[in-house]
Amino acid sequence: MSNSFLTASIPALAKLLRDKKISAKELCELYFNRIKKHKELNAYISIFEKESLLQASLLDREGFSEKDPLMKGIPVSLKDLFMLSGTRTTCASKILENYIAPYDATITKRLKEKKAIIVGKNNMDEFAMGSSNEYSYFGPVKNPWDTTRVSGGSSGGSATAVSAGLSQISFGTDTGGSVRLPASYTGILALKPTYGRMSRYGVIAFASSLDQPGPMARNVHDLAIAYDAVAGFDKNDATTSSKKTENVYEYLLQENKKDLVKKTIGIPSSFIKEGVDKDVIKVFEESLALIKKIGFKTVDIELPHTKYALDVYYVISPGEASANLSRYDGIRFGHRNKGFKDLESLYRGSRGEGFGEEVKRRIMLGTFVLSAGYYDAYFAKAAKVRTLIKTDFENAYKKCDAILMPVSPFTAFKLGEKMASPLSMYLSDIFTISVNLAAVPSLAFPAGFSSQNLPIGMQLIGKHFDEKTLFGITRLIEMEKQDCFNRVSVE
Amino acid sequence: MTTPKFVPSTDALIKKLEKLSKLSFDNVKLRDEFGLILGHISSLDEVDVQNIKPMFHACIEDYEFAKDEVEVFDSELITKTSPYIKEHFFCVPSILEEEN
Repeated sequence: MSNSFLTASIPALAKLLRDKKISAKELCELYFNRIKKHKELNAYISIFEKESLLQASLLDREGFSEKDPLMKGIPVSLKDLFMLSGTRTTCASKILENYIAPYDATITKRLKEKKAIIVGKNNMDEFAMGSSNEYSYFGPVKNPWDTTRVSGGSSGGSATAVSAGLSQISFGTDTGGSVRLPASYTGILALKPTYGRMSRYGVIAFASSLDQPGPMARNVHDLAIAYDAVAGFDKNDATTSSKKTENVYEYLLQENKKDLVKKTIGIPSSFIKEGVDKDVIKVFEESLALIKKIGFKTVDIELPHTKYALDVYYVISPGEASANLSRYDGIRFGHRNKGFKDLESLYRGSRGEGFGEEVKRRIMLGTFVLSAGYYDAYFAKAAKVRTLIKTDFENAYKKCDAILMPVSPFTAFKLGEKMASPLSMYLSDIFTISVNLAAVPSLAFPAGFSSQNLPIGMQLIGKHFDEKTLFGITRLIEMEKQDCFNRVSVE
Repeated sequence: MTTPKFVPSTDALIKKLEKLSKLSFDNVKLRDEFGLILGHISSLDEVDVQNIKPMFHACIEDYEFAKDEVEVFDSELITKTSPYIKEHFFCVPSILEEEN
């Protein structure tokens, strides 16, 4: 089976399936052959080859028609924190090494309803805590562009799978940049939707006021179809919005989008210059020139409190995480210590053996900021500064419709390079974190390459629930800069 | 209230955090990093938050609560998640001392 199918978008694959130019089984086999060939990238924790091929055969027997959902028969992978009933869901942690999900996440359920084929579960940073995917109990994920470098995290397995052509699309989660950062390091697209646009039901929690699932893809149409397939209100998640979702893929197909080019793009210049790689600056300036060439107006904006975003994030997210992770007690699920003497030693032994170092660090910090005597000075104060950060975005959107900035201050770094210093690792997220704090959407897209041929991503940040504009602008960029999009990083 | 510039990881503080989190923090590196991160966070000191409401959740609209209905799960699937099960029950260590 030819690798040329890898550059086909979902609508193109759907046509090939309808025209019987390829069968769903052949498409699945192509992906499984590649997953096995590129096993050293460590993008998957579990694969479901037998089940997927059986499902594909059944779909082939059923046939494909225009009326079918576009996702029918498409090989999809999921970050290993989405529940998939009856299969192992580990969150890349020893504590959940043998945990079998008893139900489907809403996102999983909606993908099944669209007859997508879930080929496997992707590697990730343990409990989604990390920026490099080196904090996985199952080992680090490698960057397919340079295997001595990190994939980015925490949805690194998902990003590497999509970039290397080991799944057509994937779903990750983004708490502080976790779909956008690995997308930027591996040369693909990822969307962090508005908080409340996607259901978190059946998604193992890290920080509940920040977590948002998001699709990852090699081209804009695939990303839009993945988003349309799962976005929207869910009665099982009270934090999802009942606001109607618009079909973004159909919007992209409309020819007349005069209103779109009238949009103004905000540029937070003063925030971008400091401590940013010269290659990243160069690609940012090229992207800026491109959006002007397309016809967009640009305006300088200020986000004065975003300089505090990292500190706010490292109070709020560990605080929420320490509460969420208190459920891992070694009793109802997960790893249990064998040498316990009493209940206290069972808890401490199970949690101590089950959690990795980064998770313990964040629980320690989170326990501290929530504890009596420190709560007001840390957690409550950070929550107030968070309000100021959100207000910065609201003020900026009085002057513009979307904001352009880099995803990361640098390109994918060497494996192990930042492991000695958690603080330097945390700085990777400096451009992504404020988006989660303000609950706004952001679409990361591949914008260029460094002098070492490593991908560099930019992000378009939008108004609450205005994902449509981000997709529209990115599609125009894609049409102008096709060499950056739809790339498969390995043979 | 202002954030303290530096919170020394005293033994008493570590003990308190261990008790609350049901973990042991006996690793020196972990303690040092904890102090460093707290030092970094102290930049929040300079922000004036008087009369600012805290943002504890990220919902743009009001919550829409689900109906409080019983959902029946397969008890075998649920108990499968635990490492120690006996006749559909979770096994836990005895917390009562045995009588002599």
